Amino acid sequence: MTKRIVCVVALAAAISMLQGCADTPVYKRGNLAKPEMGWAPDPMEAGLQKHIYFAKEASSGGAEAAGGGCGCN
Amino acid sequence: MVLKQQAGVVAVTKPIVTMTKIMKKQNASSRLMALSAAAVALPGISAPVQAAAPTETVIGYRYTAYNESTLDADDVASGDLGRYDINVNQWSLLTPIGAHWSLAVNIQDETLSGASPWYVQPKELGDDTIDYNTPQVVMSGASPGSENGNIIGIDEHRTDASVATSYYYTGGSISGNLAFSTEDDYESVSFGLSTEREFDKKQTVVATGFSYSDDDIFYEDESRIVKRNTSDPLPDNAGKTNASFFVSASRILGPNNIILGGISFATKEGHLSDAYKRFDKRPQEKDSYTLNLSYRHYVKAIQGAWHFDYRYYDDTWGVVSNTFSVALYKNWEKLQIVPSMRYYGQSAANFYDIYALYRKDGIPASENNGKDYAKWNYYSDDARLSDYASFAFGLKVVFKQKPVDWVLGLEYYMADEEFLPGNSDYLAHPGMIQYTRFTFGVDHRF
Repeated sequence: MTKRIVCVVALAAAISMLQGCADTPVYKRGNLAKPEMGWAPDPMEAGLQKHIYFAKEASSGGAEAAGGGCGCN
Repeated sequence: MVLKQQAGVVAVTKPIVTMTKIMKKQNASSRLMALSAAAVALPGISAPVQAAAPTETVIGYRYTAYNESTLDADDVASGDLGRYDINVNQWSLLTPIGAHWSLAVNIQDETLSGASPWYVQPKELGDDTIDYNTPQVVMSGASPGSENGNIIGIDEHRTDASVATSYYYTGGSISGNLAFSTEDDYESVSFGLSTEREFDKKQTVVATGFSYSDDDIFYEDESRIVKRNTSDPLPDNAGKTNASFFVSASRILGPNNIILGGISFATKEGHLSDAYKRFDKRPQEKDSYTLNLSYRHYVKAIQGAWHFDYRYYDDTWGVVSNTFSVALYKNWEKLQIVPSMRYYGQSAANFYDIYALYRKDGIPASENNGKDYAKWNYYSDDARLSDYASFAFGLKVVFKQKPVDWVLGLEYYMADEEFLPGNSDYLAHPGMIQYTRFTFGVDHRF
């Protein structure tokens, strides 16, 4: 529980610090909108990889909601 | 045209003053959609949540051949050396519905066959001599027609379908999804809700989400019952539930940089033991949490983007893991090449041991003063719960021939205890996995 609290506080602090970053005007965000700058540019590949790692490793989860399980062995 | 449409996000290519003049000529609904999308100008978080509505329909297909490497004969006590071969077909549809909604449908169909580890035992040298320093894995047969004694191999079919919808409003979005998965011996139903909200001149996006799944586990095929778990057999109406929550925040750091941080928590309850391991008894609850960091950096000189991702994972079974991955998305005219590398390292679960049947000092539990497993409430010799690390190397090539993208992908994955820094408290597990994955696919946008 302590670790979780530390993580939440650290994340909140990091977000607060980022608020102080210099602004990026809207017209300068063209590169950020390119498909290759996405968090998961190929959702189908990302979904399959997540499924394989879920089946073959003890860890799972991340910055997204988990789906259902499987009888993978 | 002011707005340049690319894969569901909209890039602003001229100052917003000019954009405003042109938008006055647009009708109300398209104006609202353009405002939402252009103002955000952010890559959406992984599906199903996106802050900006998609502006085009994308239909995708992927075929994947997944092949696990054959085990060394020295590591196998009995059973087949060959492991899983899996063929996967995926179909997806993402389409806008009006100005405010989108619909996503995904279907995945898998056929699996091959042998899987049943349990680990020390090497038998004959004359009742046992080498406790040399663990060997007992495998199942490779298929229903290939048996190891009466241990039947795996021949499985799995289908997974999900549907998700999102509603986009000025400054954010809200999404819901429903998924169903069925196998010969497993069924799962899950749903999720997630939101995205923009702040700070649309430079910061905060996302939250919740999901819940309810799974049923049963023995469908009577011929496979002989390979059932004998230490924690499936009760009637066996199942498990999984609830998870996450919150993340992304922030633009400049014209070429964006960062994301997030945390998640998940709790599982129910029959968490593996139904097809011989000696495997796990707690009926597990809580886990993760800390995620992702960074994207665009390099104009190479017309490409670097991806850096890190995940810290910790759970109540004692597993702690670190995952690092890096990828380069390099564009070359109509070609995109994506080399990638991933490192994953984990500690062992606190009830893991190489011989579930044997005490660590080599005395069989059956000779432990009549105390059967008195030392452990829970135990497992599953390689996935051991301490090990893995490397994965990937290469993907995308041929962009509008309106169609052709995709070829290759991944090689290898896990080994020796990849983990430091010394292990356990003997190396003989059933560590290596696999190759080949993917062919196509995306059509219109």
